[in-house]
Amino acid sequence: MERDRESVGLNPETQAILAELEEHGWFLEGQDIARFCMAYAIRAKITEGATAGTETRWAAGNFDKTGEIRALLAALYPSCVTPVRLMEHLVNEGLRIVAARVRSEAIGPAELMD
Amino acid sequence: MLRLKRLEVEGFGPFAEPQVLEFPDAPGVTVVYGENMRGKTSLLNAIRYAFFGTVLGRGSRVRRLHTISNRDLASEGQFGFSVSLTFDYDGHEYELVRECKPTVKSPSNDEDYTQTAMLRRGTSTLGPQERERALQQIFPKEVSRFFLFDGELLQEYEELLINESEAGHRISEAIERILGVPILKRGRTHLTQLSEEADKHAAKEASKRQETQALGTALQQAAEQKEAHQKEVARLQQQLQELNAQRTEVEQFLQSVQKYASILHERDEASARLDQAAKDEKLCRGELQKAMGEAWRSLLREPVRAARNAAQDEAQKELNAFLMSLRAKAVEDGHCGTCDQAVDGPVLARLRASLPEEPDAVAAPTGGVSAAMSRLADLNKFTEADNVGEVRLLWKRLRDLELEQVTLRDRITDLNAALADSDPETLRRSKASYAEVLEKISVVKRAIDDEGKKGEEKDQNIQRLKKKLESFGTSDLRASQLRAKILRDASEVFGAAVDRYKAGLRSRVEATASKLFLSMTTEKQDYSGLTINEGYGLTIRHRDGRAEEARSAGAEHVVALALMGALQNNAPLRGPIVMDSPFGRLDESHTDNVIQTLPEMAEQVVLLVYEAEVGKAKMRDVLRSRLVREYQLERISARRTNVREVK
Repeated sequence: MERDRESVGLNPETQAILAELEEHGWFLEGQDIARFCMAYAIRAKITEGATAGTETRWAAGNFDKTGEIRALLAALYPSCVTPVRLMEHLVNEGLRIVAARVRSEAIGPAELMD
Repeated sequence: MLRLKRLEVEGFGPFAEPQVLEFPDAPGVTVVYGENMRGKTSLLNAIRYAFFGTVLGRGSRVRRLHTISNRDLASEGQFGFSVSLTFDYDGHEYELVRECKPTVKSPSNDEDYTQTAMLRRGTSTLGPQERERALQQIFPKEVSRFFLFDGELLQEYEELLINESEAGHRISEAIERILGVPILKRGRTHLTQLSEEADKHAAKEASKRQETQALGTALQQAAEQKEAHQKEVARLQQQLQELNAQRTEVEQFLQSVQKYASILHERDEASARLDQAAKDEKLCRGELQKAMGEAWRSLLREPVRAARNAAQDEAQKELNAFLMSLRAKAVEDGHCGTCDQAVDGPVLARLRASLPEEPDAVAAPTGGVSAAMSRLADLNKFTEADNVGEVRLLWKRLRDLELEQVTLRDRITDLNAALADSDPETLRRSKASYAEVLEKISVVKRAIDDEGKKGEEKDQNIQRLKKKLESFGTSDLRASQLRAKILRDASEVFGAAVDRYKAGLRSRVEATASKLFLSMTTEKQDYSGLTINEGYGLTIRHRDGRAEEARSAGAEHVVALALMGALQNNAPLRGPIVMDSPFGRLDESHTDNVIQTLPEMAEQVVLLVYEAEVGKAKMRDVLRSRLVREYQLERISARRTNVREVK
């Protein structure tokens, strides 16, 4: 059985994106951006997968203190056996999608939620 | 009455060589024509310099004497100037000569000059003290504004209509001065002082006698206390006067830099708004960040709901299949395992009918928690939230605040550029000291009121004691009391006389000003005259009896001229009117009317005009025989002007 990760990481591209989004000052900290982008990816129906070449950013226990996200992913992606890896993938994918939209449409947080 | 006879200037302003103007004895108007920069204002200033040793520039500011020397001569190393004025006063001919000479070869400021003055009456030259006393009597500086003026000075009279205006108060005092009111006021003050002295004397007398000793002593003490309060009031009034002078000084400075003051004020306001907007932005950003921390829940609200619905449907289906399998088993066994009863007859038939025809369609029960139920349980752990509206509001507010800051920064940059050649710090300090002076004035005024009340209380006490004392009256005491009473009554008579005199004067000034105004205005059919107030401010009265609230600049000008003429006509102190370009704000019809009225304003009028204001032909046509002499200021070069009589 495939082993799950214990932390959520970012690859070099998404690390740069995170820094770029932090610059806007819409979020208090990077974790909030990551959680928002993960939700954005789920809403965009990003399929299950894994992101390679990541570097640890947040401990899974901190990122999802109540276990709410892991439970959610188990429900939304029933075949997934590595929820933290999926969480990481969704965070990375979400960062790319959100950044692309912010760059191309020059929009703010309110528009991202429409 | 003061009448000018001859003016000679040398080295003064544009007049390099000695230039002479002679003013005829006949009553009427002497006109001096000259284009801009030819020296009309210099002639007005030459008369002012002769009398007072000062020269005024824009905004009535005293000009440095070093700047008065003729520039052409100065470029050749010749500095200094002189003015000689011959005039008649009170049956004597006077010659007043004032000179300003350099004490160094190349003077650079006023300290490098020395001034000398000479006043001759008839054939005798007066000593310095006698000269100053005579000049103060002939032409007091305080009232010179009613004799020597330009359009700018005329505008100041608008202050008379503003209650509590310090400038208005100053002008009112000058008006009372020219009208001779202070002499009467001083008379009343002297009599009041004498009556108080007499009261003190009477109290002293009483304190020497055994039967009135206690009363006399009490009276003396009360009088001393009252005097102390009066002295305190006098001290406070002196302080108030000094504070008012400070206020005027700062006001004048602030007026002179009014343009910068308003820019600075706007910049300060913009900076304050910018600071506030930055604070609001920080606060708003904090709220947005907090909201965005929970925004992921809002994003997932719909997907989770959809997943929850799907899981519920699936769980329902699983439940239905499970029930079906139980029925199939009951039909097959003829016994229900759930309720542990035999199944036969009509129940068996009904159960069989509810089963699908294909036996394979009924799945065997799997046992345990279904996947759908498990998903549903997981989905229900998610805490739903919807803060989209909140984020939208906060984001809009944040953008508005950012935009406001950009706009304010741009504005501040523009305002700073406009302030580049000013000294904002001095201006700011002046504004601060202005506020401080106003506060002090208010404190001193309250203190004066308090002291006045205390003085009145003491006075009432004194009156009570005096009455008691009267019952003990010996002949000496009665004589002292009588003397005090006579002086007190005389003081009251003088006080009433001052009020009546002032009221009479005001009504005479009002009547004359009305007459002059109606003669000068072009709206004779609409206006009935002018109304004067306590402070000598004049209001135009419409024929319907109402005051004309909104007055044009031209109307203000005509009203000011009417006041000048009325004061000249009603003052014990009379003299020539010398006007520099007074028609600036008047149209042609008003100008004609004013010229026609000039001989009514004073016996001797000297008018300094440029021909575009009023041409020679027009002047002659309007004034006719009352035009007594004409001079032309002729350009020799940009720095030299000669005076030529127009024949």
